Amino acid sequence: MSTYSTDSRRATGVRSFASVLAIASVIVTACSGAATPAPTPGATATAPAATPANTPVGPLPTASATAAAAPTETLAPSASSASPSSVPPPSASPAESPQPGGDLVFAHAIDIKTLDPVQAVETETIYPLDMLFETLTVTSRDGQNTDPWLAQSWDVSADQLTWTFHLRQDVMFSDGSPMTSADVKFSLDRSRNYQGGFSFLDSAIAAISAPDATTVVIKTKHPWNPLLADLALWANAIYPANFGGKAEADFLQHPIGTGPFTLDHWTKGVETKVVKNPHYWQPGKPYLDSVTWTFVPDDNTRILQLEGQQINIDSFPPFGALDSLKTQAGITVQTFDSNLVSYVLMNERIAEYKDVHVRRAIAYAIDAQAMAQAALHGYGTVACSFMAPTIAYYDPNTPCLKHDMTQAASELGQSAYPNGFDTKMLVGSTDVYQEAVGEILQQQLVPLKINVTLQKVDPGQLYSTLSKYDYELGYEAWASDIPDPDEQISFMTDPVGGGAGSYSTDYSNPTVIDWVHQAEQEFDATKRAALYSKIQAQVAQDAPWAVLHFVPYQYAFSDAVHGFFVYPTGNYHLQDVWLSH
Amino acid sequence: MDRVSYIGIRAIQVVPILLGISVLVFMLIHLIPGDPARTLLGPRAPEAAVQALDQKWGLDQPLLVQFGRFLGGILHGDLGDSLTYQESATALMAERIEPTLWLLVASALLTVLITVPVATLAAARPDRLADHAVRLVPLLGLGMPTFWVAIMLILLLALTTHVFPVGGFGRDFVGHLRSIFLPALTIAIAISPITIRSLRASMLEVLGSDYVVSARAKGLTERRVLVAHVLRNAMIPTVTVLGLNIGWLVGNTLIVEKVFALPGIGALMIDSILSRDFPVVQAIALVFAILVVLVSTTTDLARSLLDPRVRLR
Repeated sequence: MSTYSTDSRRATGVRSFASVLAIASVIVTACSGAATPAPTPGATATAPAATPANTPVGPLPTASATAAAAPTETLAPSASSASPSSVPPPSASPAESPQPGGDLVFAHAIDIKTLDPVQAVETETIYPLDMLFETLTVTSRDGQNTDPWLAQSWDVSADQLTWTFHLRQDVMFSDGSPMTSADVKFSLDRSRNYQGGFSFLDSAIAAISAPDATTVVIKTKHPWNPLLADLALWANAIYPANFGGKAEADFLQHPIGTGPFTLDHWTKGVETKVVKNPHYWQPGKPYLDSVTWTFVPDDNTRILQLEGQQINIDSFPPFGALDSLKTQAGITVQTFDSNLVSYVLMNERIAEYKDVHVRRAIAYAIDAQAMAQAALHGYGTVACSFMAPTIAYYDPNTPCLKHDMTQAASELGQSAYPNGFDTKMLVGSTDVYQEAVGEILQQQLVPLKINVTLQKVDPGQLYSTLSKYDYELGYEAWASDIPDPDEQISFMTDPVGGGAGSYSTDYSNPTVIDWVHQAEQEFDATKRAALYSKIQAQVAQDAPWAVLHFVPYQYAFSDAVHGFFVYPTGNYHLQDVWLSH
Repeated sequence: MDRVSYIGIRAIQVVPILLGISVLVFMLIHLIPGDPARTLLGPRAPEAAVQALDQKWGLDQPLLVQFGRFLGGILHGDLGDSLTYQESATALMAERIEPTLWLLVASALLTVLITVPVATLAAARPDRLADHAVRLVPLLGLGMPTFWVAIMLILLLALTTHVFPVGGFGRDFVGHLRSIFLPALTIAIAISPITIRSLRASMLEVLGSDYVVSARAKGLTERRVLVAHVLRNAMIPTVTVLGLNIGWLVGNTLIVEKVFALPGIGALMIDSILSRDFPVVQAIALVFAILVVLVSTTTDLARSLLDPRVRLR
């Protein structure tokens, strides 16, 4: 769960939604409520077939090597990897050829905080790091699977405890030195031993070895289906073993990786600039000479800079400004399917919210449709399952508690608080969407005589308040960082194993927790899907939170930008992006 | 007292001011709820990792111990390290002070450039149309919110002419000049109504004094009377007003810095407060205090230059 806001930036999560396209008047509608395909065990995973170097067809790499010898049991790459050129990036015009050169300038509302992948938490830090470093696997275009990347294929043993990864042999770091299995082992060992960040995702790994220069073997403590997805996480990015002979602190001042770009400079609080990596392994890429992320905290200023052609891409313009931006000549507004879902958390350490009928009453009372119109200006959609449709195993038939005031009154009547009560709601003070949600919720709970007082806190206070359970109701959002539901589901439903007290609600249903652990170790896609459907249904009935909206990622960019595509996990591959001059 | 001694004494006087500000800022920032370790490590970090980081940073120590260490660091010229960027707070401020200094100097210059001719025009023809206009129009600047003025200037001068950038600080000297003009103008529009009225009132007062009558009786041209005799004497209270306003601005540049995306020290302070980066907040507060004292001292020196009768004490 990287952090970023829903309005001008941060929030957390994954989720999807339809996107409107712009460049050549092609309109691409997207997925939303469709059931998601499950990973299919039983085949060897390999990189996709080679594509012409100058074709801007998407994020997938070319493959020069064939798959490894058939293992005892193997996993298939995602469906999307089988035909990478079948889904062109929405903002690319197929008729146009990429033009090399140019500096792509983003404006971000939050500055990058670190150049160390294992320490990166905020999305504004993660996205630039994705350009410097790469991972063994990557999220597929639809956000539901993993594709080969620095590892071109892999096998898994019959007991599902040993994974063997075969590395690409044409990968070099930006200093020209080759990437080997020793680098992979060093990087992954460092990531999983880091205290904090996202190392919890690697907790199933027992040992990593490098039997030869192009093979990496990962042993897990128990069968662990999400491993491929975990390896696609930015924190598991690859850099030179022993930091290339430098001290760790020195290396992290100017790190190198295998990414399409290499660091030019990071002026803290001002800008981060990366330049083309001359040793990048994808022939002819990247097209851009450089990419710059400038730090522009004010929403209006970012918009004005885009209008003034001072920047190329405004990251996360406020939803309220999108309609106006759409009328501007030379500017494209695009929303991308995300896996971002917003919630009202209910702290079960507070007596009122320990009562399931109170929680269900609140879930029924919330008119998420009206809230979406007012708070998201129509750009969000009402959520049902607490998982996003872009996440694998999302169940569109989840029996959720839809807005119904009669049911709400009935549930409250069955609770220990039939006459209502006074409560407080925690919202972030720097996010317009959150504040709007809080204010609308205040009104929507009035008929139940639940009087809500808003408790506005800034980002510096938000996490510590949540982690100490020092709240009653609280706005939060989730965006999965990996193409597997396990990160989100364990975080939100397993108070101990997930490490965060079920998103600081203290929700604990032993049956759900058992299903979560079964699903983590289940390699049969059908059985896994059944488990996740049961989890979604049970959580909907237990209502540890009221599910609000699926929120898209919103970007505004110059018409000169081509090939820009945002994955449901929120990241992007800029080696495929080019600027028309 | 000569000016060198005066500056020396002001430097000594600044010590208790800085100490007081340090105590105040230290206590205030630590009173605000929020944990920098939790903010940095994220919501999924285990409590043990958060506590370990608190321990590493010394945030698990009693406040008095932390304050003692902070003061000890200052005495050794060490303002601490940024918790967010893991870099010396001094180095971080050094990277960010330049745009703020540019902004302060440019806005002071622009204010003077606007104030002197306009106030002179009004004072030279009191109660005529120009005078009424000068007294009324700048008042609009007082009534308009700074952020709104900034956005209007961007819309009217940056987006249409493309002479000035919408935001940022530019990459070279010319870029800095172009980037700083609109932010400085925004501030000058906010301050100049006060300085114009102050200078106009002073000039009218001086115009009625005996030595001006004498100057005119000697046959000096009106222009020479105004520039050589009236303006210099009338500037004295205006310099004080300007100095006070610039001093106030030192701590209030953040709105302008934010709207124009100027990577100055005000913007750094806001970010540091939001991420509970205690050492940087404390260091910036100290620097702001020093800047205010510097502006105040410079104002006193300017008054003594304008009026030899002013004694520095």
